[in-house]
Amino acid sequence: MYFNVNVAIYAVFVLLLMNLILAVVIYGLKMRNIRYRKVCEQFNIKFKDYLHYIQANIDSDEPLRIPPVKLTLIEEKALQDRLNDLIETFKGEQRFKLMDLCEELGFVSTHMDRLKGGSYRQKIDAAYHLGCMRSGMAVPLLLGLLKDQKHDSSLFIIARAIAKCARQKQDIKQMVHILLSHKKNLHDLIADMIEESEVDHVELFHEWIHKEDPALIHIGLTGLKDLSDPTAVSAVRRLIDSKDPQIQRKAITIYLNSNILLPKGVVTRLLNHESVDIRLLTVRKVSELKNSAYADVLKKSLLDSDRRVIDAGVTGLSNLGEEGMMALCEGAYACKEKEQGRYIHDLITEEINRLSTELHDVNQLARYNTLKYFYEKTFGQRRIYRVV
Amino acid sequence: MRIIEYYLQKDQLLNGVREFLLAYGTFAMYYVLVITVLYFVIFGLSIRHSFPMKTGIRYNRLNKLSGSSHVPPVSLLVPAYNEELTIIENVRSLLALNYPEYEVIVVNDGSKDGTFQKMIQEFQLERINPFVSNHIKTAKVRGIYHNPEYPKLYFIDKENGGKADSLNAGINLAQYSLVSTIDADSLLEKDALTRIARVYMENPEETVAVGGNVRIVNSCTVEDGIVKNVRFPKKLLPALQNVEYIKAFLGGRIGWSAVNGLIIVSGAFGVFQKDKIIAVGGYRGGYPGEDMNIVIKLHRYCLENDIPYRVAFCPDAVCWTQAPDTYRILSSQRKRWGRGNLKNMVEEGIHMVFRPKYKIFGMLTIPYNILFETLNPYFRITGLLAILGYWMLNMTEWKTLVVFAMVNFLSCFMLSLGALFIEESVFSRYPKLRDLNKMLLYSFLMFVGYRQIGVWWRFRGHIDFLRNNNSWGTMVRTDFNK
Repeated sequence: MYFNVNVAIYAVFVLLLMNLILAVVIYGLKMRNIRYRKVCEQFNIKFKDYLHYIQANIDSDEPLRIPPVKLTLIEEKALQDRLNDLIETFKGEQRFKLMDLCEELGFVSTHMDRLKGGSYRQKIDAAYHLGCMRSGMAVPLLLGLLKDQKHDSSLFIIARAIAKCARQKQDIKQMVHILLSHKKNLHDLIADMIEESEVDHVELFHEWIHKEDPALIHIGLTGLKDLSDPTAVSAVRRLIDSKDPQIQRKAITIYLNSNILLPKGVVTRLLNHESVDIRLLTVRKVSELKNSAYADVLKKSLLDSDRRVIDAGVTGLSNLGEEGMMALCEGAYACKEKEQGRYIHDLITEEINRLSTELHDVNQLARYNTLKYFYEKTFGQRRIYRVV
Repeated sequence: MRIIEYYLQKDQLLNGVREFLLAYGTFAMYYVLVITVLYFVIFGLSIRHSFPMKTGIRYNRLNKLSGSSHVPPVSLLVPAYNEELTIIENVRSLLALNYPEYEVIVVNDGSKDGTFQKMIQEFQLERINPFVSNHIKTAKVRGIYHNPEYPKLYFIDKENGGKADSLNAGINLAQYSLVSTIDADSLLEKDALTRIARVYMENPEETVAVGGNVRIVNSCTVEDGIVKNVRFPKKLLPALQNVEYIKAFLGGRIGWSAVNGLIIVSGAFGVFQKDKIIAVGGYRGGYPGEDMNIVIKLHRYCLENDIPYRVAFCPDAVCWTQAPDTYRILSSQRKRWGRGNLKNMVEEGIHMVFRPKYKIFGMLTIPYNILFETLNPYFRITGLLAILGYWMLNMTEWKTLVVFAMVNFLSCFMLSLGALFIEESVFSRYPKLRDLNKMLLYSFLMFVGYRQIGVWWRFRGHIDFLRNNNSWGTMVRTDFNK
């Protein structure tokens, strides 16, 4: 094989040059980063009074004034970042005042210009800042940008900006429609973004759980999962029988989390559900209610085929006072010949032993006495009392 | 006559050797060319994809996300074997994460030091009897401990079975659908989980695993389990490993993840879908390299079952780890890595290599790994011997060797600079100018002995593999602030 050393020597020079260029670029970046940090530190000192002024006057009736000195480009950037943080921190009137201040400072118009005619990177940057400033007029442009965006992190930056800027439900619906077209099951992220919107998102979530599109139902249910809204409960009840297991699970979770008085018929139905997760969820939620009216329902869970459900049932019953403990011991006795019965018996004796080591605590002493009494009564073990 | 015959035979032999060396030289030339091109392609991909990553990192407001009820709950699994020096600080840092819903499951893998006692005493743990599923078989669990005052913390005490076995025991207890593996000698940044959750939420169904970025904590100031003052390591070996990690994580993994060809999610910090781990039978026990093995199995499982998936990398989710600072410990670690890599290639890689059904993973990642990682020591060592042969047989002159060595060095150094470019343009975690100077210096020093000795360690790892030595090797922990 013929090796041309001259070519290799040229390669050495080319590589050397490229290395040098890259090293210079890296040092340039480093210097830029150091300079930016210094400017930010100087900004904090120089604009300390102005930032105090904003915070002190955020609740006053007067609009916030712009800084008394002309800002350099880097100072504008630093102030913009600070105002973005404040807008995220406050809500209501205070937020509106900060948004007005941004508009007066010219930040909104600058970013609108960049959104209209800037490079791709400038557009994303503008989308982010306009989102932070909740600029309503940016929505049509942002929706246009979102349509052409491929599935990467920028997609969600634009979508979140739309959610923040939106003034009408229609804008949110369009944004959701575009995101769903990527078919990536983004329900949690979409719900999270919509919750940042000024638009009445609860109403939107309600609307969606009545739709036929499973994706919209998912988003609706995801958005409603932390709300204990009675109207939501009646709406999700329909979905408890959904054929989509995920929708069904979400609907049941919302239903059980609603803290309403759960009808025994529904609870019994859920305890007979084929999914272990749903049975477990039901037992746990019913247990959390600590209502002795459910003792007989929980007693049925002791016969479950899954140990997790039995465990949860035992814990739930033992927290229901006398009635619960009686039901627990009776339930264990009724199936004493079965595997479940033996397992529950072991759990009860373990609990008695554990409580016996904590008799210095009055509550534990009471629990110990009650459980021991019902255990001995049910399983026929008698105490021997010695009269001295 | 016999003398003439001797010289003729010697000439024939030498000609044969010359021809062989020439053929080997041609092969080695193409080998180096291909590997360099591949390195540059992966680096190009890393740089190309670091910009959208930068956008995602910069414009996502993590404070909001870390308070959101929509981020997925995660079970953190912390296997611990003889970790009494670091375990408390590590667990405290994990309990203080900015994340809405998670649990920390520490698994004591039959430690011989005071790990068990320290955990019990520090957190006042009491034995409980929760339901534990038996998805994956593990060594005997001696007890599970909990204290309601630390509702997120669970402590499993089990008989020694290795790191993989501990992770499997943790998976059996984990209640959430995402599990995260974290080394007990590592510290997670407060927002690391939220950053990974962001990547996961952007494609939750297909993301089967997300790897975090591992950085070196040596010489940094640690207070209450939090890295307060980021500094470049002062000692030689951690400093070399620092630039090595930056190159591997930023220069390599970003690029590999861009083509869904990532072969490893570091055992120090990664997040996985629990049901997928269970589906592939959990972590493989009894041998090092379990972090690579699980990722290969996930690729294989998803590709064989036509499940759309991705193995992602999240470079802004940082886990700080202690780098070995002595020759003995570092060599032990690298030999272990070499053994683990070879075992994985023999066990899994060989069934997937150049098989189109495994797509980019079978056609690029595995061949790359076998040819340029696993077999690398053999090409390097034989290459060195060949150079000796060229010199002894007057087949080349020093000038040619120097020129080719320069080409090799400068192209490799450029890749190091590429990684530093990503570091500086996207993360800039080391604030001082002198840190950059040091990084450049150590990027150069890597080529003067460190890389060569690394090849030797890997080769020794292969010998250990053939000897059936599957021990974990030496690992000594020190306090985080030492």
